[in-house]
Amino acid sequence: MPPTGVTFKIPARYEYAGSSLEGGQGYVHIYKDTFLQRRVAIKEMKHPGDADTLRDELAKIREIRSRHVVEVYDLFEAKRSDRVALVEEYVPGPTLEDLAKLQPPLSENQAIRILWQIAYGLTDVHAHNIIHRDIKPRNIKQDDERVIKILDFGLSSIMAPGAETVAARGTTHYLAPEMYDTRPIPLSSEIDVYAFGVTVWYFLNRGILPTQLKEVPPQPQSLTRSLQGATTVLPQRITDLLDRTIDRNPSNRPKMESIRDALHEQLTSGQHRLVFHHNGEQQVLSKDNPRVTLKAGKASLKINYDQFNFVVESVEGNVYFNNTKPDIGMGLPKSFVITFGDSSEGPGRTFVPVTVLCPEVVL
Amino acid sequence: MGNLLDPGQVLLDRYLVESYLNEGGMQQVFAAKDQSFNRHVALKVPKNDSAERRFDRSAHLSARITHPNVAKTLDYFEEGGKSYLVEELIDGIDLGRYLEKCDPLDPHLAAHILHHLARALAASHHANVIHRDLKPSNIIVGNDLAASVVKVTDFGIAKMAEEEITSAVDGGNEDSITASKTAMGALPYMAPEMIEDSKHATVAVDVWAWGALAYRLLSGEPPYGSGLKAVTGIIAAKTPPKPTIWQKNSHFEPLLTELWNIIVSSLNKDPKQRPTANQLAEKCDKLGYIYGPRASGMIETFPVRNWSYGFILGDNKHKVFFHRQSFFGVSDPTVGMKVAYSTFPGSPHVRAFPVVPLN
Repeated sequence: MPPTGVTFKIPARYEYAGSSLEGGQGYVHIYKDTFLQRRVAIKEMKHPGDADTLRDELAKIREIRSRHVVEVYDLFEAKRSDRVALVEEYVPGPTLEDLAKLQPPLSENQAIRILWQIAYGLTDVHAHNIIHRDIKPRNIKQDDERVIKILDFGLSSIMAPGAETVAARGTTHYLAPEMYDTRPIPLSSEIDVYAFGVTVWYFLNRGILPTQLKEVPPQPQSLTRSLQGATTVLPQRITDLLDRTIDRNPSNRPKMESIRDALHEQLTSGQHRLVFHHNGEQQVLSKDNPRVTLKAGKASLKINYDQFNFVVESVEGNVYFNNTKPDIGMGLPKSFVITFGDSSEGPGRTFVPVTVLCPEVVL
Repeated sequence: MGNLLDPGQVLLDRYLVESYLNEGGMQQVFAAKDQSFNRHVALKVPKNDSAERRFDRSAHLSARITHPNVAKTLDYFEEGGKSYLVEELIDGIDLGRYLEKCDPLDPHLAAHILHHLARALAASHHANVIHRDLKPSNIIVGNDLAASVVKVTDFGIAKMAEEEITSAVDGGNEDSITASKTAMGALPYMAPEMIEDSKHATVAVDVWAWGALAYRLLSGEPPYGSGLKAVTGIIAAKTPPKPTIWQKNSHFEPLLTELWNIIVSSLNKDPKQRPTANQLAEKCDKLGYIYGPRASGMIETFPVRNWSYGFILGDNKHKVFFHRQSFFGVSDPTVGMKVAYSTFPGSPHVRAFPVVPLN
C-alpha cells in the first residue's frame, strides 16, 4: 500500500517497508530496494517550487564529498507536476535528540567525538560554499558504525558573494538572531555556526535549552549562561570556544573548521609520543613519562608534554631546533632535529632527530 | 579481452559511459557520468556468466556495509540481460599501482593505510560480511602521495579464485592456476584455512589477509612469497622473518616494533587466536604516526662527507633539509634519487620527514 503523501508512482524495484515520517518540509518513507536488498529513505518535498532550481541545488549538494553527509541514490520526477522525490541512504538513527537523552549519559569523550564529527561535516559543507540552514538535533543522526550523518539539505543555500535571503527559513530556537533583522539578510556560514551552538546546548544539557535561547529573537549571548552550566561539562578551552558560537555578532563566532580542529585536539590529548635516540639509547616521552632533560656538552634542554604538545621548558647554552633557537613555552613541531652546539663547533655538534607520533582518529 | 562497454553508451537512460578504467579477474570497471545527479561514478560489469553469479552476490554484500573506508554502492541494475554495479568513483589509484611508485612503504604511511583498513574490516564484519580477498588491487587510495583517502572495494567477489586455488592445490594442476591472474593475486594474502577448505572461511581470514598485506607493504614482499610456492609456507604459518630493511634505521624502530607485534598476531595459524577486526582497529587506534600531505622532489646534494644530512629540491622548487635518520628505503639515498616526504618548519630550509624513494 503506498503511504499518504506519495504522489509518485514509485518504481516496482522499491517495496514499501511500512514506515513514514512527516517532517517540516516533506515526507520521508522507508522502502526496501529489492535490487540491493537494503532499506532506503524516499523523500518528497512538500513545496514543489521550481523543479529545475531544486534539481540544480541537489546536484550542487551531491558534490559535497563528506563522510558526514547522507548519500543520495536516485531521483524521480512526477510526470504531471513539478514534484521531485529523492531516494537516499537510510540512516536508522539514533538522532542527536535521542543521544542527548541517553541513560546513562554519554561520557565526555563520546560527546566530544560526536561534536567533532558534526563540526567535521559542517566544515566539509561550508568548504563547498553551501550553508545547511537547518542544523538541529533532529537533522543529525548516528549510523550503525557510529558515524555521524547530517541530513535534510532541503533548505540549504549556495553561498555566493552578495548572496542574501528574504526568508528567515529554519527552525525556531536554532535561527540566528540576525535572521530577525530587517531584510534582506546576508547569507553566510555563521548562520550554521549559531545553529550548531544551540544544538550543542541541547546535546550537552539533556535536551533542555536555556530560556534565553528560547526567546524569539534569542537573547544576546552575554545574557546566556556559559556551557559550563550544562549537564555535561567539557574542558574549559572547548567550552570557551563553543560559547562563542552563539555570539550575537556573527563575525565573533568561530569558524566550523577551528571548532573541528579544537575538538580533534581534545580527542587526541594525552596520546602523543615523542621518540628520539640520544647517547645510543632510544627514549620515548608520553603521558606517563612526560619530562626529559637532554644534555650535550655545556648545552641542555628540558621538554615537557602538556597533553597537547611537547613544550620547551628551559634551554641552556647553544641549542637549536631545525636551526632555530627555541623559545621557552614553544610547542615543538611533529618532526625536527635538535642540535647541541653551534656551527663553530663543526662536526663536534650533537644532532638528535625527534619524531612525534600522533594518534589519528579513524571512525 | 575487449572492452565490454564503449564510451558514449548510455545505460538505463542515466549512466553515460565515459572511459575504461581497469579490470580484475571478474569484471571490467568504467568511469561513467550519472546524468541524474551530474556526478561521476564507477560502473562495474562482470566479464562472463560465471562471474555474473558472483557479481550479484558481491553487490548485495557491499551494499550492506556503510563506512567511510568502504566504497559506496550506489546502484545495481540489469539491462539487456547483463548486470551492472554502480559505485562511488574515488579520485585515486589502487594500492598495487601506488606500490609501483613507492615500494616498500615507510611505517608511517603504512600504519595510516592499515589503520583505515582495519576499521573497514571491522565495519564489514559487523554487517556479517567477509571480504575474502583483501589485496592491494582491491584497495583504493587517494590520488595523493599521502593516501589521504583509503577505501576497500570488491567484497566477496573472490569466491571463484578460491575454488580455483583449492582445486589446483588438491590436484596439483599448476597450469590451470597460472592462467588465472586473479587467483595468483589473491594467493599471497590467503589464510591457511581458506586454502585447505574455502567453504568454511570465517571473518578471521580477513584478519590474516590484513597481516599479510601489512607485511607486504612494509617489506616489499608478501610474508610467504608469491605464486603457488607460497602455499607450503602459508599452511605451515611460521612467523615470517623480520624484513631486513627494518634494521637499516633505528629511528623508525618504535613504530615498526608495534606494527610487527600486530602483524605476528594476525598471522596466527589458528583463526581463533587471531585478533578480531575490532581488536585490530583498537590496536591501530593506539599507534601514532606522521600523516598529512606529502610532496615529491629529488635529492640534490649531500654537503658533508659521510653524510649525516642532505638537501632535496622539491618539485615546487623549494629546497628541503633532511637528516640521514629520516630516510627509509631499501637502497641508500643517492643524488638524483626521486623521493616523497612531508615537511615541517625549519630554518633556513623546511625539514623533510620521512623521506622515501619513488620510482
